Amino acid sequence: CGDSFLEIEPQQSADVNNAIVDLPSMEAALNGTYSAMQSNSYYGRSFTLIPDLMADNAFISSQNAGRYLNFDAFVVQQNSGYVSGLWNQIYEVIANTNLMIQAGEKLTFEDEDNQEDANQLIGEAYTIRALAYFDLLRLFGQPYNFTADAGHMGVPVITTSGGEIINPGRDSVKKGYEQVVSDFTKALSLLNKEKNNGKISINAAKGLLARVHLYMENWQSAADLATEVIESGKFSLVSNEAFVESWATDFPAESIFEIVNTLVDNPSTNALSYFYHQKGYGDALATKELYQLYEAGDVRQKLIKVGEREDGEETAYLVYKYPRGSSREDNIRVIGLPEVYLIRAEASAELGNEAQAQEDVQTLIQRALPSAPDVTATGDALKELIQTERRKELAFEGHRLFDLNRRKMDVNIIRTNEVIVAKYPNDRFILPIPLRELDANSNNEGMVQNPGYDN
Amino acid sequence: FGQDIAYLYAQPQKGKPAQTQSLKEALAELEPKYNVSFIYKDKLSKINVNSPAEQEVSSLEKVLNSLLEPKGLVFEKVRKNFYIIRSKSELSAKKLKKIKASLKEETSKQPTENPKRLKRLDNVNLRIQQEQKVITGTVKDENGAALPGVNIMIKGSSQGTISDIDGKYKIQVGNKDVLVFSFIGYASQEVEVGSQKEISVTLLSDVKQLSEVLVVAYNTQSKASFTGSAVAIQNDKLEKAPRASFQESLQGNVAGVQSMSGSGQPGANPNVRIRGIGSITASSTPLYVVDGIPVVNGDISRIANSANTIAGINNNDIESVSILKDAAATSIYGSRGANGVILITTKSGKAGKTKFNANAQYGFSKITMADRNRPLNTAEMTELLIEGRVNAGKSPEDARDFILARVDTSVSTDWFDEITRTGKYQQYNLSASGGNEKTNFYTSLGYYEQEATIIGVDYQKLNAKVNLRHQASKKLNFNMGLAFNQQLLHTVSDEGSFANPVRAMYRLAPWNPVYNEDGSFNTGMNSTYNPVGIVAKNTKESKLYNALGNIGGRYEFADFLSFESKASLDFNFADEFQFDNPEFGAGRNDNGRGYAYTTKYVNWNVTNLLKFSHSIQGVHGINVTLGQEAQRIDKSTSNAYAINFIPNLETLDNASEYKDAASSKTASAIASYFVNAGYNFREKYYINGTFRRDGSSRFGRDVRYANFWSVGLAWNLHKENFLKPLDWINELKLRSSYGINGNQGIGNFASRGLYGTGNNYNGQPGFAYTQRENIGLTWEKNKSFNLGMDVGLWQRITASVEYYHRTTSDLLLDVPVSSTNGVTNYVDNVGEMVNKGWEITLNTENIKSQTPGGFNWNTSFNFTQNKNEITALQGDDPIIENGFIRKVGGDFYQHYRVGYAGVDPQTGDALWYTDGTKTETTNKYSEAERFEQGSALPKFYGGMTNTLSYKGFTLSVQLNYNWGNKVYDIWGIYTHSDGSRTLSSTGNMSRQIYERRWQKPGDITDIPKVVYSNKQSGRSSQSSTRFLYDGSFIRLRDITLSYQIPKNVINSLRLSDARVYVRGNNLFTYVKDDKLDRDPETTIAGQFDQLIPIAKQILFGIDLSF
Repeated sequence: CGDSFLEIEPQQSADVNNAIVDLPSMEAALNGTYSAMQSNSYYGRSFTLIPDLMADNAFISSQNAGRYLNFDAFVVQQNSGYVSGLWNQIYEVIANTNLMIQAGEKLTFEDEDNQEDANQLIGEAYTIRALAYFDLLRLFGQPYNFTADAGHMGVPVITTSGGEIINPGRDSVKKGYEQVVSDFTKALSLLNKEKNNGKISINAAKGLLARVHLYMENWQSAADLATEVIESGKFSLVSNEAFVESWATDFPAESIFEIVNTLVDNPSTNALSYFYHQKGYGDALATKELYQLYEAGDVRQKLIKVGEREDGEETAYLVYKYPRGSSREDNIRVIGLPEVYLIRAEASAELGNEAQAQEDVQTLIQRALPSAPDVTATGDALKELIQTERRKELAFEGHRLFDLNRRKMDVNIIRTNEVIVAKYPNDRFILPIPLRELDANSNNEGMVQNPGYDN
Repeated sequence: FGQDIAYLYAQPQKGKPAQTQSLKEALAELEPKYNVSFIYKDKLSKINVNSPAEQEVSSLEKVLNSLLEPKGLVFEKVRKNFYIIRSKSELSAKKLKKIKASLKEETSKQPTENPKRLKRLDNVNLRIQQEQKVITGTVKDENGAALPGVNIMIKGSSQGTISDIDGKYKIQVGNKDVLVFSFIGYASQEVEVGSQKEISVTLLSDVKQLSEVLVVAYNTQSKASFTGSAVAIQNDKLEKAPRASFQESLQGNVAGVQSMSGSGQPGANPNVRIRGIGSITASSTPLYVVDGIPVVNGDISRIANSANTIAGINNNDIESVSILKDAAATSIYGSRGANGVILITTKSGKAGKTKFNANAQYGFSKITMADRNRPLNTAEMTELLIEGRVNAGKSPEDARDFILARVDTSVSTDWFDEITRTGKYQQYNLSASGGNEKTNFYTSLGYYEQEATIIGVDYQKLNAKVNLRHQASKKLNFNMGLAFNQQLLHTVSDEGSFANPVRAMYRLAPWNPVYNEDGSFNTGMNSTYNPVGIVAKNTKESKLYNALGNIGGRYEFADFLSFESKASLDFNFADEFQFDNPEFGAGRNDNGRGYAYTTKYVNWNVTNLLKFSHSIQGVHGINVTLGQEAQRIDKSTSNAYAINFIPNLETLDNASEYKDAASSKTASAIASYFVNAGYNFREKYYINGTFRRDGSSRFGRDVRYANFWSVGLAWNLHKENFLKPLDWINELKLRSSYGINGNQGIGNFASRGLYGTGNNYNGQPGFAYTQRENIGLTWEKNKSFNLGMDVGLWQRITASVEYYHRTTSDLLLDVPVSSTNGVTNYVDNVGEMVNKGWEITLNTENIKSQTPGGFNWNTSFNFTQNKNEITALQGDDPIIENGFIRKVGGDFYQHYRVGYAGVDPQTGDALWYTDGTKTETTNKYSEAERFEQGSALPKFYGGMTNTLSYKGFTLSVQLNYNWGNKVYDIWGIYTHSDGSRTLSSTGNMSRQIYERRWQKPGDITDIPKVVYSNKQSGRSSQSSTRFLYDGSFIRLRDITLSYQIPKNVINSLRLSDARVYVRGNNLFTYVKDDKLDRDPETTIAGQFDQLIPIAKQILFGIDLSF
């Protein structure tokens, strides 16, 4: 037997050192990254569900299978599998973008079109990395404005992967946001597709960066970027009549970036849509408060149906924003044009440009309810109105807890038979660093637990 | 030989010879006179010849000539003192040659007796003159079958005879003589002649003597010459066991071996560990070798909870199993020897009359210790919930109204009754063996069927086997074997799955009915997974096929040199299908889901051996084996998934929507060269050395090859002159070994940095980073030291005591790393672990009857004490995973959880220790720290078997014990919910809560108060020692009462043997921990995971031979 007898190559995987070598393999690596975002540990369920659940939009039915109960009850613990799932999954996304950027930037293409395609792909990777860090910071660190210099604890910022094993400590929130902004900026210099269904486009990157600036209270940058997206002309609000149906279709005109689920490729029974849909687990229900917040006739209210939770609540508010839940085909919207309008509205209100703010929020209100009166509120009332509209427009899209926390507001955690009023500031508005990470990471001084979760 | 020729030894005769006599008589007179033996055909014996009268001493040749010539007979000297008598025309030269060869063989078979006999022939005439008479008789074995070829000697003389084909003999003796009956494989028997005229004896097979020969790696060798540590288990411990695999019968029978599956699912794959846990991440499973072929072992199924390729072997086809434990025994298997080796030898044919064996068993099984946790009924649950509402601050009236308005108290389903059953069991086997000197065969057919005690779970097995051996020429022989088996498993989902009936049994609230009023299945509970309905309407079927074929040859160049070659193909195939019904459960939204899976393993192996064995004048013994081996295992899988089915049809052709299709391939290979050499001096001192060089495809190119070796020493003290006078010492042997072997039990490509495919997105192919590269990844090394002593006393007691110390270094460890690396784990050679301990095996014949059928009592006992200790880890950081802490100085399965401190007698609150000092308690779980809580590994374990027999009755009782381990109920956090799960359909509480909960101030108990919507305790995140129990137990593992049907009945039925018996398994268990609410047997990791419960069983059996 010669040495060749012992040379056996894997058939279902590629060697990491020569996996990314050309455009198709760059694209494959990027698809793998999107696929990781699709996971039920990230956009596929946990990340999109928890901000609504741990606030006043959604709660777990009394007839449930035990999932996310500790989030619903506001008693999350450091050994939670959902928490470690989020942490592990988002860092997996980051490592894949790192490897893709490392390998991709080494490749050069003589053909200009090819180089342009490569730039787009690398730009997508930068955008995804920026978004992933932004998401980690929102989950595990207090908001940017929590301290004056944002010097409070964030997450480790890692921009290269695949080498020696690392045991990083936590970086500040400030450093995290710097990386996020820098990655978006780099991405915008590379991206060249204006619209890219199911994937990152220039406008998706701009819209997400606008959101980041909103969190950082860089109001002017937020407003400017939002304006660029709105004026790109690539997206338009869905009409009142088509609104409900648009949530059952892929890539409606107002959607800027959504994670795609198909009949054969979805998180299966772990999908977000399956968790909301009554033909799935249907464990998560809308709160009565949210339902009643909509004016009669508001088309957005139609995404919540009044019915019965089998063996549970006799009157239940059933979420139909993900109406294809039984087949788990619903895409997960990461950013859409309505949010961009709301970003510009909020930033404009903060900048004192109230006319712009009123106009933008009115655009959404009257799209939902054409008979609604014009918006005339000013000052704090206007700011409050904008937040309420964010709640109504972006319900079940994974924003509510983050919005309340960055706006320094108390959170009413509505449950099946009780309301937990959690005052701002609150250690438990963010998640604990997973116990698994604390156990596996040997940097005991640097990788420390968030306050309020000691042990 | 044998068939038509009788041969006689010296039979001295006194008295007056007749004028004429038969040839036989005449020759009989000559034999003592000339110290010779004659061989002649039976039909010649009655020929009348003239008596050789009172002659002067004359040469034998002359006497013979005068006797034979007139009758047309001739004689021929075949060797010293042996003559053949034949008719002139008969007996060709060729046949004569053959007889000579046979005779030579016969002589060489009894090297110690024949020379002695011949030497003492001179003394014949000096024998005490006494009254002589002819004794006749028959020699039979325990089964009543005639034993031909038995040596019957007069004690203290060289005179004797051999029993003929019918076991009959005839010998001339005096009254004071003692006859010694001896035969290889049987205990010798001595009978005083006295006044008897007929002496018929039954020889008892001597298991001790049989076990003197051990099947070892690539060879067999005498136990006396073995320097390593190995245990041979004969088939009587394995065959006719109602267990699907022989591995289950190892439990409690062999020192140093643990075999536990923790599951009552028939055909489940047990964890077999030899001398402790050898590895952390890599496999700790021994290598299995069937008739010299390393086979695919373990679970190849993709949908069954557990399946076992080794269970495919029919226990009744096994001749013996050798368990190789130390380096001297296993290092010749190099990279696969670290966890021990289990050699299985299957039965082969025996020359002679074709013998048939048939056996049948039928029995029943039930869940053990079911009474420890009968689910609560509606009245009991309602009582708890109302009490819980009151404890939550409601008035008794409110509480009552609230609960009664929501619970249908007219329904009280006993989910235990709905989900469990009495499992039926049956097994039938038929085998035949026979052949002649040139060609022999063994063949068998088997059928096995067992239902689990949980609905929907059953197991069937079909076996067929042929072993053939053919002697092509004196120097060349061939052997070939073909075994085929099919295992069919119906399983249900396990662990935390909704579809798991075991979970449902303890979780479903009793007010959930099984059926709706219209008779359809109630799906308004448990997320629609009605456990009874799932079993009725879903399919989860695994068919495992195995074909094991081998062909081998052996060529003898000379007495001392031979070459063996063997090639084999081990083909394993799993064909599986799962159907989720369209009405409820997982398939309800898809109008039915179907999954088809196939998995194929093709394992081929080639071995070539050159064996040298020589003894120089019986003083210096040398043997050397040179070997080469190559093995390759290819695995391929495919699966398909479709939805939307035509009603009542399940194959994928009946589905309208294709969902998924996939296939995969992988392979691994090993190439090896090895040598084993041994030397002994007068069979007193032995030294043995082994070296093997292995290359494996699994490791990085630069570290692919490795060398393994061992050295063993043995000293047979009982052969020393200074011990010879102590004839009560039958054996006293010291042996020791040291060596290194390896472990390559990791993934096929664990050393590579990999991008895993299949991470597709939006219909486009994608791959993602799945495995960190580790080019230096290499063998895990196992350094093993063994010191053993074997003792045999008074022919009644044998004992072995062994001490071992094995160090596993360069542990193949799945090291958890910070997730910021993009992976959560990677495999590295990190750390070191030690297993050390004592093994004691003791066999005694407490009462030994001198006559067949008398009262006999044998005991065999074994004890194992193993201590596992991690001695080094990466950076010496503990690894905390799955409720265990792995740290330097600790053992591998050290439970690491929050310590439960019981209940505050005043408030009824659950209390936890704040830390490992156990000085402070808290009623807030979040303030409690985890600390070490004892090990899942037993301090000691073993078993004891007592066998009592009298007349035809035999009673065999096996106890096994397992002591000092801690077991954890993973799902206790759900079943002991203290009201936190309120009215959930899966919120049933345990009987412990009902019986022992705190109810009022002053109550001293360990179960907190029940509070509706409890936030203080009973939450699913509150893992603690509340659910950790002492796992110590002693179990009546096996009890068998059998009755041997008397000979006269058997003979009238034309049978050679018949036996009936009743056998029980797990009938009684003593559990040390009263609070443990289930059977204590669990997996090696000591965790209860809602697996199929352990069962007790009663069965009736019959064995027939003809």
